[in-house]
Amino acid sequence: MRFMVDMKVSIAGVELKNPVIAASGTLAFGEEYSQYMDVAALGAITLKALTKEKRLGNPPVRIAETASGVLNAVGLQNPGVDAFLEKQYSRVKRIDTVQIANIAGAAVEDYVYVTERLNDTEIALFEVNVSCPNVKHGGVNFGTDASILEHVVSEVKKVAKKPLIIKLTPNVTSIQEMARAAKNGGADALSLINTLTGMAIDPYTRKPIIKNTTGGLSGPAIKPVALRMVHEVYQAGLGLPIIGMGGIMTGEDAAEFMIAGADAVMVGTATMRNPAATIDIINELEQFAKTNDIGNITELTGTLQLED
Amino acid sequence: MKKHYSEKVLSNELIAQNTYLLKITCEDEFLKWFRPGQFVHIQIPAANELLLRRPISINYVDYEKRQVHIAYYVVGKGTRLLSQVRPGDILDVLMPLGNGFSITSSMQKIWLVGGGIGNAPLKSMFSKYMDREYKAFLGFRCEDAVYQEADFCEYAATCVTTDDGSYGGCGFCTDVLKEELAKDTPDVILACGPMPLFKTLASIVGDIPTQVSMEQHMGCGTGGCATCVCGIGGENKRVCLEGPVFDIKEVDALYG
Ligand SMILES: Cc1cc2nc3c(=O)[nH]c(=O)nc-3n(C[C@H](O)[C@H](O)[C@H](O)COP(=O)(O)OP(=O)(O)OC[C@H]3O[C@@H](n4cnc5c(N)ncnc54)[C@H](O)[C@@H]3O)c2cc1C
Ligand SMILES: Cc1cc2nc3c(=O)[nH]c(=O)nc-3n(C[C@H](O)[C@H](O)[C@H](O)COP(=O)(O)O)c2cc1C
Ligand code: FES
Repeated sequence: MRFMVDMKVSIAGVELKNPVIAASGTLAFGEEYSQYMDVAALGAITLKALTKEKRLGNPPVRIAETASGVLNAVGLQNPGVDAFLEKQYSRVKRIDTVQIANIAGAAVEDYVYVTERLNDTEIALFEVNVSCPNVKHGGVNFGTDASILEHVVSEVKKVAKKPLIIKLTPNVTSIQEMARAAKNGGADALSLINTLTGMAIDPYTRKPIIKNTTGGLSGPAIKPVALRMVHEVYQAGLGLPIIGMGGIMTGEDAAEFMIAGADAVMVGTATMRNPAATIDIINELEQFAKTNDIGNITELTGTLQLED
Repeated sequence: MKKHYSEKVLSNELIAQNTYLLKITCEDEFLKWFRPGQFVHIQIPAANELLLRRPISINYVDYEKRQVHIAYYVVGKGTRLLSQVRPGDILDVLMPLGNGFSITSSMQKIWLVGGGIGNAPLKSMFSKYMDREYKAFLGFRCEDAVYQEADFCEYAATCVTTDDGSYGGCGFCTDVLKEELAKDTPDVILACGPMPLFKTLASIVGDIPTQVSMEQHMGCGTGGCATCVCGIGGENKRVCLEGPVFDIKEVDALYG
């Protein structure tokens, strides 16, 4: 049993107090959560997706509960990057921990625009959300075609003044191929997984529960898929830091992702169930390290035992 | 402001067809912030596979006994499991959430209009504003569905209607409201119920300030996930944070 654990980790040169990060889309811009927890105690917070133009998002119903999971179709509702900088950023900036922007778009130019607008802020890392339909390519997701993915990453990389985390979508045949494409485009780190496309039906009305028909599945239901993908990307040996996520509800879940190869983790759905879930997860992960005689949390990363 | 509590179940009883009244403990901190029209977001105990909490309006707050009451209708898995909790069980609740009704001292004459389980939040007005001149128009499906009529009668001139005429007046509560509006004008109308009730209200209230409590499927309940929106004045606003109470004139779905 250890008494002290060094919880610090580093992602693309940015030091985090601990490896637990609030995932994009479940903590808004972080401001609302100070009444539930000490937001500054998190390793980092990821802001919800920002786009060039303001987006109203999808019509409700936007959420459905499924077996051990949640399906959502928010549709990237946000005020647009300019309004965000003008009206909200001054308050968000005061949250005393590392901040990560989540950048989304419908065309490569949109990603470039948002990136340029955020360049001169104190936001430390840019997470590029490539799980978005590409309007110019018939709505195919940027993240599901290796050459399109590499292209959008390289264009954003040309202008970005902060390290880029590319957030991979799991709705692909080979996650390793997409991870390589992201690296070739200039990624500084990878985060995975975004939500799995799914749907839910009410058999009595014969209608989809979500107005948008399909939505993104998250929560414990996707954890096995997420772990497998983090493992595969780690095995690809690209040398990029990995941020793992998908259904993390406890410190043990977080430890599993680190063992599979993650340097840090993100937590989304758990925050919907319990607004202070991220704090509990930090404490549980620290306790896990203590009882397993781990002095430095980075020692956990990639320690999966494949031999007997 | 603390909003996340573990509270003890005091009672959980059937009060009408499929309708339960749950009483739980509360702390001074909650009492300090509570406003009528707010809601609680309850984690369903012993149901880890039900990831989401369930939003339920606050029905009444008893300041003396330090209790929060909620009245709920059993519709699915979550509310069915909730109906099985017993005195002594501990519930994980977020409360009080949402904006609540906006009540000013100039609002003396207050009319309450509710349909079915939507009558529940209206009673919360009597937790704080006992001295107003109330009229209540409460609609139910049938006699077996009627609950808390006596509680309303204590503070309000109360008129109950049932859709099938099995109890009280026959028809919708808005029919009676319309007749009363021809004779008298309240300072404010507070309403909660299904969309058709709001639609009728929108067509009869004219310029009378009217506040409606909206429902939407929710995730966090705390403003983080933006899943619970309702079209308000051309914007998608979060029912859990900017609502659940909105000015009827701003609800896009009711006009245009
Ligand atoms: C602000 C607010 C106040 C409410 N107050 C009351 C109240 O005082 N009494 C009462 O009986 N009910 C109230 N409701 C509705 C109540 O939340 C639902 O009946 C309940 O969530 C159903 O859960 P279930 O698991 O039994 O049903 P299921 O249909 O199995 O639920 C599946 C999912 O859909 C959601 N859902 C289903 N119906 C609704 C609905 N009408 N509104 C929001 N989410 C829904 C559930 O929360 C759950 O996530 C309120 C809703 C809101 C938003
Ligand atoms: C309501 C909701 C909104 C989300 N919004 C975004 C978003 O704006 N950008 C993004 O990259 N991911 C978004 N996600 C995906 C999460 O960040 C995360 O990748 C996914 O939910 C898996 O993690 P979890 O199981 O811990 O939630 C959202 C997820 C949910 C549930
Ligand atoms: S339920 Fe999450 S923002 Fe309202």
